Amino acid sequence: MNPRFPRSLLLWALLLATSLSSYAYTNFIGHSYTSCLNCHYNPTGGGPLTDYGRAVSATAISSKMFYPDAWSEEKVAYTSGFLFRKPKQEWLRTQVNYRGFQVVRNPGSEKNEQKEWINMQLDGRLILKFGQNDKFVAVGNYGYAPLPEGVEDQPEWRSREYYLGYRFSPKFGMYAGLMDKAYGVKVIEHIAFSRTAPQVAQNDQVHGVLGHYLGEKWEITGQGFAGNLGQDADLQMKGGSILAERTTFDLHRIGFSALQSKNEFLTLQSYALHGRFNLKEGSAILTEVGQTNRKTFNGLDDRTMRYGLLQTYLRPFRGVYFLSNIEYFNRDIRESDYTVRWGPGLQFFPVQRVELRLDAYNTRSFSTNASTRDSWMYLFQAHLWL
Amino acid sequence: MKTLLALLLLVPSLTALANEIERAYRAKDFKRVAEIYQANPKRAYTTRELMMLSLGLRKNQLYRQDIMLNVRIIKKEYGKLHKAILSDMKQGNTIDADAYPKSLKIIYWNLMNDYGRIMQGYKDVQEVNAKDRQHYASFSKLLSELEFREKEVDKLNDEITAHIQYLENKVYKFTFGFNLQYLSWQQVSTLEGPTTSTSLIVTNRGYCAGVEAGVENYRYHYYVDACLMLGSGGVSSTGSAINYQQSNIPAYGVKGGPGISMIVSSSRSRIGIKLPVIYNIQELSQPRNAGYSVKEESPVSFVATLYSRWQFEKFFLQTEFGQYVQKDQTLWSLGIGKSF
Repeated sequence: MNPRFPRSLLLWALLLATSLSSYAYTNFIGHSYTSCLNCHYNPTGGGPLTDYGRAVSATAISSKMFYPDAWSEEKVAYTSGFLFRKPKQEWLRTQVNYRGFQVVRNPGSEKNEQKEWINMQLDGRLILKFGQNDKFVAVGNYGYAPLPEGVEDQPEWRSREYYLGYRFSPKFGMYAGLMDKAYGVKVIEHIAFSRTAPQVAQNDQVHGVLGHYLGEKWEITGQGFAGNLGQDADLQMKGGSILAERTTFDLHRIGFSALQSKNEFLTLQSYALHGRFNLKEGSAILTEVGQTNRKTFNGLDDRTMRYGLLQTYLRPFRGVYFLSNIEYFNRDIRESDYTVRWGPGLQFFPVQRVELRLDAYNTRSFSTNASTRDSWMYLFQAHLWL
Repeated sequence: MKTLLALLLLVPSLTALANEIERAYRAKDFKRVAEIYQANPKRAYTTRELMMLSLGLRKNQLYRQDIMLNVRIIKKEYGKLHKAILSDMKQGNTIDADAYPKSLKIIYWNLMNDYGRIMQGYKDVQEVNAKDRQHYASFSKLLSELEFREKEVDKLNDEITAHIQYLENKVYKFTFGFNLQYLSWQQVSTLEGPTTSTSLIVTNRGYCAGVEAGVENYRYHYYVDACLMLGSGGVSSTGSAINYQQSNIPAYGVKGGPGISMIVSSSRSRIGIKLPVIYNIQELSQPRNAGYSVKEESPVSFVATLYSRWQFEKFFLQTEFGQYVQKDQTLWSLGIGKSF
């Protein structure tokens, strides 16, 4: 699929002063979007949507229940922009994005129940784009995000993405700046073992250069990086990654990834196989199995972690997704102990620019020497964007 | 004389009727137009009157009567042309659309629409009449050959096809399948001491091989399933005065019950709920410490689960996750299967 949707066919799509959803949802392969570049400036997904992506968000993803019945899809797309207007220029787009959630740990426990509201993200994004089919793009964001546990020497207000990109042709482009690492299935659950084990979660962006190829069947991304230059030099994880996918049966994608990163204290080598399956009308399955070899400078915490992810989506109605997040994690494959986390959830897009999500996570540990009770966590998430 | 008298009486009567048809038609009182025809269907109407009456019948959804009326018009005015075009079609000759009057094409269009509306009125697949479908197809083909209102013809063809398909999809069919699951289930016991009582949860993992049978249409699937479980689990106590621990305790049993799913995609993926009953057989060793014993709970547990299935042709992937009724244990399973 041509990543740059023909401009003439965008005449009906609303060209917004501000774009919409700020995250790539890889399950949208269920809507036949195999490549993230269909809807995003970032070829690995995530970040601001293109004009076409905003139109898709309005007309395929979000519910139409709160719009008048007489409104056509074209009108829904046209009026979905900020202040309901079409921008008068092609080169500038902006966005504001908020994500917060209520987390309840150990629900029902008289002694251990914990509830808190966490503001996960509040940021503004700027996109400059020039040339035919947006050949040249400059993307950046700045805003608030809570620091990871144990990290205190960085500001909470910061940028987690900025880059320049140039598409030499619809098939090939280069990008340079601060971006996510290209590895595995980019699910939004940043606590997923498939993201935390290889360190490709929400705060693991790196400064580097990324090359992206999109062919008829293959999509390949290669990346070299020097770590996050905002960190102390000895902590910066330098390395490279490759992510390759092939379209099968014109519907699905299967692929593999490899990633190596190291600093003065830690070396990580990760490999994964993954698949993204289109089960039509928004239903999809995402799966990844992988392994991360961890070596520390003093050898005290060397181990190999193994993980598996099965994320399933079913869309009974437009705007509504039932999902399950099923994960396997073995912290050290020399041990037989492992953890299974099961997370049924409900995702609802009542209108464009609003996402509500309810998840329950059950974590069960399997050990030969102990039997522990399951732990539970409930999450209610609100995602708003302008 | 009598004949002359009858004619003298009839002519004003016919004239009055014609005037009434015209008046009702012009006033768009199509109900009255239809009533006039129904009161006197065999009267010798003019072609113009028949056209007005035809519209009245269609406006009142009297499609079968309109079919008869339009066939009457064809016989009256276009008999030779109709035979000629049918003959050309049968012989596979090229048809010159311009050689046929627009008025005939409109009648064919009316007939196609009448049959179309009749079929769109079917509520059940058993109502589908083969002759109606045949006649509809014939007039559709006629209009295609005459290149008349092609877009409208295609649109109606799509609507009719979709409606018939919908009626066929509504029919429930028997389904059968088998599956193999990897699952984890829990069992509760109590470690009782002289003065304390500690709850023990045994967490099992294993396999369950089973079958299902039910009925399914395009939207819903009602079924019962059952599987044989085989696995093992471990248990340990924390917070009690003694250390009690066991691992790899064999467990076997049966899980089964009814379920209902909603089919949500054309690939027949589905989501639903199940209400399985679990009968679990598992024997824990008694502690060696004097005064302590393990009391096992009932082997029967009722569970409510959320069930999902993703269909890949005949094969499927399924997941199940649920909570025991009035207990805090959970069950989950991941499985594959084949349906027939």
